[in-house]
Amino acid sequence: MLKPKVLTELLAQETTGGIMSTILLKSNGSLLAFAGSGDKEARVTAAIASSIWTAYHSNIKQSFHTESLNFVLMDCDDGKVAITSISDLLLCLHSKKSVGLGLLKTKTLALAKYLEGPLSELDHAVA
Amino acid sequence: MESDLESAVEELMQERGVVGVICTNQEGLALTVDGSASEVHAGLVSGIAQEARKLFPEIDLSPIVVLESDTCNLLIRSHEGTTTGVFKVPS
Repeated sequence: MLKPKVLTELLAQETTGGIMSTILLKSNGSLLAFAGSGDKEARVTAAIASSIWTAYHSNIKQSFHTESLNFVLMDCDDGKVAITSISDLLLCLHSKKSVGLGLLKTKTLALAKYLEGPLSELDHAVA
Repeated sequence: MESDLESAVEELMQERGVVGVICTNQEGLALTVDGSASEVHAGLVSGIAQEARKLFPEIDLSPIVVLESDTCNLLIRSHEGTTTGVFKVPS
């Protein structure tokens, strides 16, 4: 069984040291859980992250001659964004500009690895 | 998660002559930067460490690389997937 409070607490643990928001979303862009800045902002970030992931995922075969997209890192004017997939969901971390890309990637992968087991069990239960 | 790394870098910055510190992962992405070090140095520091390692394939520990200029020295070493670069003013 999925415990929303525990999930939010886990995401909040990652939302430190320059990480502004940690968002777990469905592949269609709808918000599943988040920690960090405002609810409205998280919904917008989730929708944009999903859109970017879907765009790369659908074109990856032609662009990179591979079947699966593992990770997207973006360095923007006002911050940095990391997106990765966990079973059928997406995990998105949005950080300040001062956070190193390597640290952002490490934190995202650590959380994804931790959540992968429970979330894939949930996925099997729903299916 | 990153507090240990940041406190180690802060400690290093207190050493005499140290003006900048950068830590990178194996992919050349910055983990943390401080002082005069910049995130744009990450790929170069990581690349130098990887190339230097090829010169000494027989040893387990990666070599320390020292780059000397008139105004600043840069010491680079990799350990367990993390490369550290320390910028020091020559004494």
